[in-house]
Formats: sequence, C-alpha cells, structure tokens
Amino acid sequence: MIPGKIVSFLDRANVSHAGTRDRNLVPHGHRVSGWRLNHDGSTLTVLLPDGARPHLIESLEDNGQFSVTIEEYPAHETYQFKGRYVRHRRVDGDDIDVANRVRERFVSSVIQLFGEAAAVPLRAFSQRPALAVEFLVDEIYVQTPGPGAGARLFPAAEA
Amino acid sequence: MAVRLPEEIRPVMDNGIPAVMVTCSAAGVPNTTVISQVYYVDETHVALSFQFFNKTIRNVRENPRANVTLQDIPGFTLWILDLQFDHSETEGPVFDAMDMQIEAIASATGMSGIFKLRAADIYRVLAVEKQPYEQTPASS
Repeated sequence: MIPGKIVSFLDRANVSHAGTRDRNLVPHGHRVSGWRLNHDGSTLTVLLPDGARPHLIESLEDNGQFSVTIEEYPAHETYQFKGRYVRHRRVDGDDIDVANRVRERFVSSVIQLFGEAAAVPLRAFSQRPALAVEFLVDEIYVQTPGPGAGARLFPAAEA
Repeated sequence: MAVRLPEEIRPVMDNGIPAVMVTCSAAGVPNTTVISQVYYVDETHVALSFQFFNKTIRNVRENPRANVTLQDIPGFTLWILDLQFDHSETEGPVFDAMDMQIEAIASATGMSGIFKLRAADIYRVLAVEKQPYEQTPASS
C-alpha cells in the first residue's frame, strides 16, 4: 500500500512527467496531465495527452517498465514512482475531471509567481488527457532537492 | 550527418523553467527526474548539471542514452532532446559558467545552499524535436 503521506501529497501535487524505455534501452519522456491513486491503494492511473503517445504503449507492452515523477511546484516537493504497466484505456469523464483539478492547482500556484498574464499559457501547458495508463507502484523515491534526494521511501528499508 | 541545435532553442535553455530528464539503467529500469539546468555548449553538445541525482549519474555511465524535455511555456512548445553522454568536466569554462548559473537559479528559487555543482556532464545531441501544442486552454 502506498503510504498515507504520499496519498495526501498526490492530492496537492500539480505537475508530472513520465518515463519509459524501449527494447534497445533507449529512454523516452512523456508529458502527464494528471494522476489518481486507485482503490486498491497500490496502483496509480496516469493520464497522458495525445502528444505523449510516441514510444509509450509499444515500450510498455514490450517491457512494462514505467517511472513517473510528480512534483508540487513551486515548493519543489517531489517523488518518483517506479513500477510495472498493468493496462491502458481511453480516458473517461472522471479522468478529465481529475486532470482539470491538477491543472487548476498548477495554475493557481504558478500564477502567483508570474501574474495573471501567464494564465493562458499555464492552462495550455497542462493538456487535455487522452490516455489512461495504470501501473503497479513497486517503489517510491524522494526527489525533493536536498540531502535526502534519492532515498527510497517505499517500500521502507528494513532496520 | 551531425544533428545541430537550432538557434531558437537557446532562449528556452535559459528560461529558468525546470527540464525533465529520463535515463535507463543497464538493467532496463527508467528513471525520471527534474533538472534545473540544460547548458548550451555548442551546436552539437549540451551540458547537464551533476548535483544530487545520483541514480541519473549512475544510469548514464551504465547506459549513455538520455531524453530531455525542455519546456517553453510562454511559447506553447516542448523541445525533446535525445542525448548521448560523452564525458564529465569538473573544471574549465563550461563548469565555471554552469556553476554561476546554478547559483543564480538557486537564489531565484529559494534553494541557496542546496544546489551544488559537482560536475558538468557533456552530452552529444542525437536528435532534437520541436513539439508545439494547442494554445487554447484545455477544457473539459
């Protein structure tokens, strides 16, 4: 089960990016529009726009490896989730609502830095999702800048 | 034929918006991380700062391929770079210039004392792709 601290983080984070790799171990980046923790407490559904498609599904179906970095900007609290692909599907209305909430969190946080004039580009930055990718979270790493960066948070190291 | 970075990418590298880097270990596990700086070295090379992202550093020394996404939010555009790690520099003009930039970024983002440049990692550009996206606000 994903720790409670991370569950609450997922509800306030506002920006994300995903990574895959192909059969030749070439890494690929994919922009992300939103995420949701599923009822099992162990899988995440990541919502991606059409522009994220190149190399995505073929890489996931080839090797299943998926990594997602999620950040609360501008606080810089950041975690990376690594795991295995389960399935993908077209987004539904609930997914679009999730992505809209993420977008509004992002815009309301960042607009304080750049002003109202930035509202249109900030909203456009978070694209409407097209695809939902579900994956089983095996590991979570701290990526918040500082001395703790890189530490594994989940599963907890044995004493 | 060598891939050359277009001139129009240079302001995006300097826009202060964090970039995202994906690497892959020799065992085939991808790693995604936010990076604060992509430095233009010349038409065919960029430098990335080696600060604390140790898994990234380990990965590119096992498997030199990397993918970096630069974000031009005011320009409604992403730039995708496919890179290959070439070598690391711990002194010299590129290192010194990156060190100064890192200090400026740290100061501007309230991270003074946390960012510290350990090395400038030099990458060859294998491919560069400009990805404009819709300018209208995404809505349901």
